[in-house]
Amino acid sequence: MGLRGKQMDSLLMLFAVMLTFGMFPFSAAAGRPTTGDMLVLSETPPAGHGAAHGGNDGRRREQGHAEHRATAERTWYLNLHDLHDDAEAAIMRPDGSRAAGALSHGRDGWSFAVDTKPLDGSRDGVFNLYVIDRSVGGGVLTVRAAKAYMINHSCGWGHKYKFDEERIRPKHDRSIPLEIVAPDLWDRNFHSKTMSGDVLSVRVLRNGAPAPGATVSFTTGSGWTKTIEADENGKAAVQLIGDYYPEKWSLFDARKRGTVLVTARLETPEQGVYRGSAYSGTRLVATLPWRYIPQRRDYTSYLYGLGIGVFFFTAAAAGIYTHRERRKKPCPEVTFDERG
Amino acid sequence: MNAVKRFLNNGDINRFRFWFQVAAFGLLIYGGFLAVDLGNSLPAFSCVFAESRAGACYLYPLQHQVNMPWAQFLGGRGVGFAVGLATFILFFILFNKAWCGYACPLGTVQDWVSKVRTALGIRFSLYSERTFRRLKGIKYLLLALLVLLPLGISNSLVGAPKLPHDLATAYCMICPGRTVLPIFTGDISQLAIDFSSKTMTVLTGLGMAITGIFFAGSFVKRRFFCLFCPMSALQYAFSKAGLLRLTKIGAKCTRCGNCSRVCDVGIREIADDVTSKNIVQDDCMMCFKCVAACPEEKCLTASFLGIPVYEATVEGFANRARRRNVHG
Repeated sequence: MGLRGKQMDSLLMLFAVMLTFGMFPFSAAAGRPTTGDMLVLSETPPAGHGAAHGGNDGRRREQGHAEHRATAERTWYLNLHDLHDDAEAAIMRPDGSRAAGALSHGRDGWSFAVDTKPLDGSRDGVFNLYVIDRSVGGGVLTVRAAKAYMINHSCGWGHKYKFDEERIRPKHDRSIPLEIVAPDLWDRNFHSKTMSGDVLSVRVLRNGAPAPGATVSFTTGSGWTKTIEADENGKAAVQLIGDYYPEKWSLFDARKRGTVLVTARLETPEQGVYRGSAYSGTRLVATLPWRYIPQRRDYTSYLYGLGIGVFFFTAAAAGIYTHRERRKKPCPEVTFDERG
Repeated sequence: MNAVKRFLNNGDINRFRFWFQVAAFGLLIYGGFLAVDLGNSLPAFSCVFAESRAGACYLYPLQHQVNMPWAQFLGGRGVGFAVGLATFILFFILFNKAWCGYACPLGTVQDWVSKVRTALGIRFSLYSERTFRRLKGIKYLLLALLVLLPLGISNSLVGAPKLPHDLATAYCMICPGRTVLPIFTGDISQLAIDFSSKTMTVLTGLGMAITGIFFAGSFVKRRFFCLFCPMSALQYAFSKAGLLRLTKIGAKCTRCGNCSRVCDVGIREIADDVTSKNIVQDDCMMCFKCVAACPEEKCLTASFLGIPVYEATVEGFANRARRRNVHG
């Protein structure tokens, strides 16, 4: 028994609506990105995951205050679920060697694990993590490149790379279509050092070469955003705001982590064919998350420090002087009265 | 060989020590610029807050390493603690407490402050014996707190609530090394009070107060801070295993008291003790000024692996006295 005419029309209408709004799997596979479809890497599962399954799994929690306490394996998560089959994850170790990451989709969404063994200090430094996702939709090749810096460091290993410029400087990968590189995010001891009020400077690279004209946005966790254009060297810089103002001073946390997401967008007229789909333009989106803490000068005071030091120095000096003076014995004087 | 021994025994230990201290200070404070890294277990105040240091004072990693739950002491982190302690012991027994007298940058700063006082013609101060005995116990108290406070962060000690994380390196917050030594690298950031929490406000305030007292005290009392130094207390636990020894033959001692009079720290046992062979006390920094001041042949001897390297001799004493124009 077949469907009646009006019922068939309704079904066809419904089909068209679902196709339009990408509710069918294959429409997603056709690669039409939704608005705000940036891929972002994070050590915590995306919202709605992780906390519901208990937040006590040490591997899921961001390392927080124990930033420099290395673990054997760390898992990184993607914020979106719409990765395509050919999405790839890559790992660049502190010594420059490379490895592929194994993306998997589980109850926490897309993720991959980074193996940091052996924990003997040989992998002391910063890992570059990448996830690249490509799709063609509307005749445009969209390349989403999520990147993250992962500091792998334990002070117990010592700081033997302290003056090794090659180890300390941030690396980049020429095979990455669009990459954000940020120097000065960590100090020579591989401790992150970005504070509110600092100038955050980045460089946008297109396959290892500067990408002038790229649109670079800096967005903090509080929602503040600044968007500028990269210069002829692909560089862009912005001063981070101070956006941590607890209601009471007793609630202030000097280690409070603010987040900043750096996004770079670039559109080029490159044409080609990708997996059988032709495209007449290319849209590249790269992301790099980072964190910052309150500026030291917001909660420290040289005036009080030097004041206390000078006060106690003066008091101690006065006390010592008084004590020494009181201990001086007068020279005994003997007087003879010859008259008497 | 005899000529070498005679040359050493006649030498001016103070001049040698001065230049050795300058070299050690330069190495430990600025050695990082030459990529020198002696590790994290040094038995001297090579402060971690000086960015260009050549190694780290062991007290800082010690506080970090004991900051763990009891159960982890038997695991990998416990191994890390044991390795750190073993490395410290190996470094220490090499030169025994001479690390204090010849290498410690904070000790060197105190000696320089004393030189300023001497140049101004101001007489130094001494503690009475009773005061000395009372004050010397402070370093053991500081050593105990240095270990217990970080332990109390990760564990509940005697049923008390766990301590705040800001006490993780409580000793370093009050140590004058943290405030003074980075100044030599152009870093004055440690002179500020940290108001981020009550604990940090108190600790950094106390640190600056102790810094003020440190300078006043060092000006009039030679090696003022060394009497309170927890590193000295920790070192003394392993001093008997040291390869460098300071020994005395009591039968040759005439109780002149020279050794005690020249001692910067003010140790009286060097003169009073005529029965012990090993006369290194917990406050001793093995500067060997006592050996240089002893007028009795081989009464006091500094030896390394049993080989005498610096002995008190009549000739040496006379030469040094003649050079300084000092009688007896």
